[in-house]
Amino acid sequence: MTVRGEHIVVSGDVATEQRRAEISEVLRDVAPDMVIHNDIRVVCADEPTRREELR
Amino acid sequence: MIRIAAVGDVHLGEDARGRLRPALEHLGDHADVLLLAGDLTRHGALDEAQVVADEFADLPVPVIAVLGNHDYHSDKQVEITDLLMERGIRVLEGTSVTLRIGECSLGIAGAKGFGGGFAGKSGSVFGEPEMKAFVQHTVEISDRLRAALAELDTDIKIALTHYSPVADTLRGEPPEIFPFLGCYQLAEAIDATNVDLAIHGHAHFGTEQGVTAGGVRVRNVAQPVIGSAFAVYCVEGGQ
Ligand SMILES: [Fe+2]
Ligand SMILES: [Fe+2]
Repeated sequence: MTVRGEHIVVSGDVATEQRRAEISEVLRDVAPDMVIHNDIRVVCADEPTRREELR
Repeated sequence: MIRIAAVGDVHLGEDARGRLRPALEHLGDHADVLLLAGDLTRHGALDEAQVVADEFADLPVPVIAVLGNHDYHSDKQVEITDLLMERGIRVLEGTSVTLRIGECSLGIAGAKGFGGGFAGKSGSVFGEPEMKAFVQHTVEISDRLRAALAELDTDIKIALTHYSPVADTLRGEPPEIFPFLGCYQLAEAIDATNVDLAIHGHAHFGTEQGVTAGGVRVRNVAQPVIGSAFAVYCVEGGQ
């Protein structure tokens, strides 16, 4: 989490969109006067598109 | 050639139930075995572990796991281990498993590992009892991993941990916290025992690829790092 003046930027990763949204909610609760930028990413859970051959 | 699927840090809970299952449906087409590199839950709660069991049970390939620090958080690591074992997920802690895949024998030794740091920037068994206990835990776990690896006599040998054996795969994490992300003693165990590949998790902001001082390839499979449900590594046997 980074605070710059009126701005709070959060980054990182979570497993679901809902967990990402919860973080925005909590921040709005504890810092209602700040501008919140939620840069947290939802981790991709798709099948891999490549594999690595180790020789 | 053996195809090893691996993922760590899935941090599952009731709200994430079923998230990996669609990608796992075709696991048999991609891989011969699935390794789970710890931090399977968010807080080490039993209901979260239940979700983990449901997610990874009844897959077409053997599933081998170690626990991570998050899985210890509620002091339920023994219960979590039992719960996963009952569902056919082999949980390793200073232990190993041998699988036969086609013509090839595959040995996997696993342990959670611990922090302590890396060359020149590490803790030592010195000073306060708390500091000694911290590093003693590092040493004991690494010794158990070494013994489990040494015992294996297989075509391919894999070391599975949660904490990292090298600093390479931590690039992207703040250097200040490296001593909490892994320890050199794990790499010493790996380099002493003819390991073909070392798999770990824990460093969500790290990078995928690294190598030990002895030339063993290391892969950080924390899910945010690999950016998919699992990564696949093909390893040639009998080098
Ligand atoms: Fe994690
Ligand atoms: Fe962790």
